[in-house]
Amino acid sequence: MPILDQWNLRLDADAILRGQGADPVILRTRRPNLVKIAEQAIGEALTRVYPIVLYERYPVGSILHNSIRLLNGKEITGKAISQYLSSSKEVLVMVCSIGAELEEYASQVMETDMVHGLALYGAGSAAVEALANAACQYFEEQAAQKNWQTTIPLSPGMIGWPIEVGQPQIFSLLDGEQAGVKLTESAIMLPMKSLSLILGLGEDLNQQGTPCDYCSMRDICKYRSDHAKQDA
Amino acid sequence: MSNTVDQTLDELKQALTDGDSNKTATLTRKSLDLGVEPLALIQNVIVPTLTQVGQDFQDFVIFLPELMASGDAAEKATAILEEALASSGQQMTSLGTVVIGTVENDVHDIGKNIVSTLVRAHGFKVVDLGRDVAPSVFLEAAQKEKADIVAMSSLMTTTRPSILSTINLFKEVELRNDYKFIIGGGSVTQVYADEVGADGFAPDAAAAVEVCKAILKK
Repeated sequence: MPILDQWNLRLDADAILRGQGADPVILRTRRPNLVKIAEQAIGEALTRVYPIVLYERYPVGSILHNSIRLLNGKEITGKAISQYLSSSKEVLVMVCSIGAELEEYASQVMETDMVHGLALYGAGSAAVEALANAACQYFEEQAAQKNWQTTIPLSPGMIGWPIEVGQPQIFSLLDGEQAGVKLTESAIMLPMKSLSLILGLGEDLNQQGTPCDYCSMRDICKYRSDHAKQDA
Repeated sequence: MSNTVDQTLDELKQALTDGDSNKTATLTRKSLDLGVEPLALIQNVIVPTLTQVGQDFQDFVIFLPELMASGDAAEKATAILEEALASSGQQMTSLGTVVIGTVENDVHDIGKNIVSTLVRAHGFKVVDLGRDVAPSVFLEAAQKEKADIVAMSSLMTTTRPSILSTINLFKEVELRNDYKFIIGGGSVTQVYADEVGADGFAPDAAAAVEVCKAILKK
């Protein structure tokens, strides 16, 4: 399975603060000390992340009411799947991970300094999200070369694709161990700072909406307004 | 109280609210030097300030890192006050003992760590069992520590059944009614708490403190 491991991830304090559930604009004014801690976390994090993307493309065989069936006979089920991937000619499944070192370091730091530790966890969340965004952009550009498009990325745990359904489906299509990512019986990915995604590829795809529309955290998420701004 | 004392206590409240650990530690020591009793500091300054900070978090006035910074500052102040009490032969009265952990098969522990910090800062004794905690480990710790509350966290819907397994184990050995059970985490709701027969549910870390206090008042 193809692996991409040459990524130049960039982090900034705002992304780290968002990764901790905070609004960076407000914190810059109100708590500059927390911004400094986030800035300090950038350097510590970047030396401890090992970005890797494992992926595979599968031709779509048929579209069913609540699922799609791949040519290899495997099925991916879920309301979000059928809604967004139904026009796809291929699906691309991927696992993005930044490795375990940063989260292990964050856990150690958290034992003595919770605020610093939380910033490092925020940095990990920001890093894996940045990796997933970069990977999606890479595959979008690849698709564009043959005049194809990509759908919005879908992840298990979104509304319409329960985590206990989606994660085993993705890991049945990918050997996560090749990227150092393991799926536990509880459908948790280890290292924790990993994301699994699926993209539809093809022509004239349904590209409406945003991942936020299907996110179970959408009503309380501090990221949402930023995504909405980007999408506007 | 003299103006100097008043001013110092006001500054201490502000430092706690701002989550400034170093300033909090300095002002806590200064308050003691000015003759303020450690217990009075806890009851009249630290707990009310932290309660307000928790309320601000629940009201979406402040963000998680700010809540955490205040909790961390309060822990540092409390450690200084415990030391002062110990050196004068006194002991800090605990509000109760909480045995806490992330349930079996779940490895997400940030939320649980935040709850531990805040609950401890409010004056509870907290025994943190870590993550991926088996029901038998909760049981053993609750007995050993003579816990008042068993607090369980579960982030994932896939690990949520471990909450029920843990409560069921306490039932099997006929110890369910010896402890109060509170639950929280991303996968947990009040409806689920009612389903599994938990005594309390906390949607966030600040609420967990209030639930612990309320549950032991009953």
